[in-house]
Amino acid sequence: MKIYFLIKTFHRLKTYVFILCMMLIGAYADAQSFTVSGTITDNYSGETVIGAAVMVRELPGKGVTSNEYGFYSLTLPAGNYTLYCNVMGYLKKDTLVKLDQNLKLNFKMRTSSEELKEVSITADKEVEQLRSAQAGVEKIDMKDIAKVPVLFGEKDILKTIQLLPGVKSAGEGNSGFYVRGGASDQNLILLDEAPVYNASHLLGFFSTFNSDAIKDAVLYKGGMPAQYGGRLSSVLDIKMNDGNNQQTDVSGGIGLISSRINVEAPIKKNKSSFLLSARRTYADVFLKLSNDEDTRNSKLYFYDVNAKINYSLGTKDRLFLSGYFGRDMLGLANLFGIDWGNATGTVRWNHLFSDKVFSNTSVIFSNYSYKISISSDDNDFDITSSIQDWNVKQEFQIFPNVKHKIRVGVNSIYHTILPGEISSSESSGINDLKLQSRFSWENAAYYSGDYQAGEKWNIIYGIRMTSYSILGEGDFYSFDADGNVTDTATYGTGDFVKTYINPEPRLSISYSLNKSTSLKAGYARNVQNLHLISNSTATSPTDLWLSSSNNVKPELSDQVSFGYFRNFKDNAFELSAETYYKTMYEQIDYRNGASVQGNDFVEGDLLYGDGRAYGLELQLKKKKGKLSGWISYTLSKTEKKIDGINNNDWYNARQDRTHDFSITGIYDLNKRWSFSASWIYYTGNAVTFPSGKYLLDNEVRFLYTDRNAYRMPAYHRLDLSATVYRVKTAQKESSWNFSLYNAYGRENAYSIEFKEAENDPTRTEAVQTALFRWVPSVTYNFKF
Amino acid sequence: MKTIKYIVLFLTVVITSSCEKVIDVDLNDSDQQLVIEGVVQDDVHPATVKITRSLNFSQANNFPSVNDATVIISDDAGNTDTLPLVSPGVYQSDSVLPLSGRTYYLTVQTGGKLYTSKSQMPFLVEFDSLGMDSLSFAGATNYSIIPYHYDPAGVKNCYRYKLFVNGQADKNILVDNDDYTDGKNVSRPLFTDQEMEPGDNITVEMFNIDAAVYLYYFSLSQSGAGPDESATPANPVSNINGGSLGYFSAQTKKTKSIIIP
Repeated sequence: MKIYFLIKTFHRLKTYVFILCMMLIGAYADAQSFTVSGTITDNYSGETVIGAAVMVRELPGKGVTSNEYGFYSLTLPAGNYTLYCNVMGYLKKDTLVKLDQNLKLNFKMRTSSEELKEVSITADKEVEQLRSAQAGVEKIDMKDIAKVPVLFGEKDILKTIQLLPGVKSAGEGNSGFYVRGGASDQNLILLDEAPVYNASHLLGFFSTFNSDAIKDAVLYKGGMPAQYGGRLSSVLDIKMNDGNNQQTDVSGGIGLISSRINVEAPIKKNKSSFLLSARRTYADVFLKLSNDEDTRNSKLYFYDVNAKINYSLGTKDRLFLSGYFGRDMLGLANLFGIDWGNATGTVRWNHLFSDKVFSNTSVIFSNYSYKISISSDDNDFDITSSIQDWNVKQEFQIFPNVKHKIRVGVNSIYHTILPGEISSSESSGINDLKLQSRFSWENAAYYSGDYQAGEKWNIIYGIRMTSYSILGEGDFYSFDADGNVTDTATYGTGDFVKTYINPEPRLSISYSLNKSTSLKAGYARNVQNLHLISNSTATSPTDLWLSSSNNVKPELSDQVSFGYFRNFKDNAFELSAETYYKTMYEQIDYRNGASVQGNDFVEGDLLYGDGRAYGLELQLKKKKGKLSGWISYTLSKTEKKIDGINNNDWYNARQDRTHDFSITGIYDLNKRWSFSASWIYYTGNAVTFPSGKYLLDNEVRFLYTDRNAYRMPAYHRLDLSATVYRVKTAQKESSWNFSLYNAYGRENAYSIEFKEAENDPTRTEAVQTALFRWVPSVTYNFKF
Repeated sequence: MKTIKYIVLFLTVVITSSCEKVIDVDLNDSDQQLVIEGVVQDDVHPATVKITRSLNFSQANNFPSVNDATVIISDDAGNTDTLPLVSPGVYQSDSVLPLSGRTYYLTVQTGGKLYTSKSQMPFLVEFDSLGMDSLSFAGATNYSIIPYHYDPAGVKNCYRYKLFVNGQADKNILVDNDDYTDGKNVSRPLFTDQEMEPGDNITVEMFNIDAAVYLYYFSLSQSGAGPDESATPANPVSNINGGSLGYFSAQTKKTKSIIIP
């Protein structure tokens, strides 16, 4: 019923937006101009190419880039033009067009072979990066990801982005990350538009993204365009491959920890194709070799599956169906088990209303859940918890002329959170318990424009209006200053408990000083209505997602940023310097001694306050030649001020690290050998250490004074990797990858514990635990 | 939830062998703070209040005792007792009558400051028996100790346990309440990393404590571990007003023992 109501309302909204679009187009109508539009695809696989530049020879500097579905639309005055499409790693070919009517022109791009790589890259694409108003953005090259060394040799997008400036790792070998002082739950991670609530496997040692299935990834660290919303600090927009619609492709890899396989093939050549990608870890296989039964009955693995089907219905419509399913399974004998994972599904329909109006309609499902099972003689019970979204989205992309691109859209999400439910058998020593489910309805409408104002100025402007309604049914509590319930209000199904409305203005401007230098500035407000409450400082699958409510206000942030961008040596080098200042409001922490799990009154244990983060990010990238890579350095400060913590004074956030440095190099020696290395250094996390001790119950206990006033020791590490190709053509490939994590065996502190000295019980000492020294791995990759 | 500890333990065993070493950490000094430990218990022990002071981290563990305090315990039946100093830092009196359901008030006066607290002695929950379970993993056998009791329905019950292996006290803080077990026969294993082997003499003391003392020990257990494993460390939530560390608990106590076969 709720979903039906949602869709009906959405349809009405969609109609209004469409009328608005038509009015906009009307305003830009120009009798002298015609539109050339089409799709850019890879000649070999038929995959659409995102962000390819379609340029006009006769009008230097004029051009457009293809959107996330490979579509472009270019409106020019009538005349004869030479068009070419430019993408890194592909050959360019001129196409002559006589523009005296609206035209369809599809580009099928051929991959440049290794020898031609140098010549095929020309300046336009790189200059586009320089000229675009968008600052604080990182496009991640999937080819780099394959080469950068990582823990266990499992190439991983989330670990690779941690090497970029402004992005910090959540810990040793961890796929969690912090962007510009934000917490790890303040990153919006999208997989084919579906939000992924827990992007890590095995407590963060792996991410949920199987690189084989990924086409494109973009990270917005600030000034995100108005089509994105819902999280404070960043957007990581990941898109899956569509599947080869030309021929069958099978590829995969066999590693020490995991193996993976990827199959893609046309269903009907040029029209439709599918992709199926799967992987599984098998550390648990070794458990089976054990001679004791409890070990044999233990489980430790994860698997994930990505699947996608796309279908072209004529020239104007295209359908996509994509999904992800992943699960971690952990079990200790038959006594204890936990499994957790995400499931997402997206149905999308692209429709061309005209050469200038591209429409996409999406229905998106996303679910994260975990289940803990305990079974011993007298205590058997299951704990289940989940967060689930139904999401409908309508977007129009309008291309009125070569200078202007517009996105307008609406988005409606229905969230259901089941914070926890315990079910037990009759004879169990544990009671059944069901925490109240929480329902909320999030709506957004946005308008975003990308405008080229003259030769030197580029502007991306936009606004996003968000409304967030908390719906019944359920009891909603009011609390006093100590967290005791003072009042209970009961709401029926579908009743509105509270609605928050927030405008989110976004603006980015760039100014080109000359052909190779530009300045950029940006401002963005972001709103977040789903909050992750974690009672451990490491990522945990059982962390609690909490919705805004009558007590919990939406988190807000304002970020201003400035940047200086410069290309050197015929665009072989890119230098960027960006600074930011971010203020965050309604940040959440909790009282000491709070029970985060199994607590219907958890909101009474929360504390609120502000945050501030500022910093400088420097990056130098080398993109051409045998040696490529980047150096990044971040100088930053992140602080919090929460009522009821640290005497209400500002204190360092855990992720506050003064210096963060990384250098990544990839060296392609010849056709067979490729080497890479990365070195990372960062200031230790801010932590709370004891400032004294006392005796209680005949045990030494520690006295804490200032929160996060100490530092973990500085962290540094070198990783190495080598890849040898035995066969490498467009169709076939076979290679071995060898990697060594933490090559010089640095004992980086994972935790520091204070305890009684072993040889002198009258003294107390600090004991450091380090994980992962010299972790070698080998992987065999193939494609046929 | 001890889930995470389980998983971390498990992963540590399976994926990697971690390495530990003693390091130097330069810690700040702190002002000396007062520590009050007050107990009224239903067994033969007299009411005891221990008063000491904290030390800097680098100092040897000779905690200074406070011997000049005025310590008074009164109750809601109108009795008032002043506890005399019996040994350094220890104030004791036999005349405080421990009774379930009675509320006790503590006042401590020292250094020109007043510290107050109250605690209600819970009704006794019988400690039915003590059992054990074993699990073999990765070649080692781990024992878990299970105290059995029936939790009275409809009232809030909080428990604290002390585990002794061959007379040696276990360092883990073991507390539990009936959030999940109200009105049930409770048989939850004690979560400890204590190593045990056949022949060991296991003694468990079970205390019924009030909710404020439970919160004290629960928050102490949360803040005890290393910085990466638990919540951000902080001082436990004390039920003593006036700014001292420690707690005041009126509690019942029962003891059981077994030998690991």
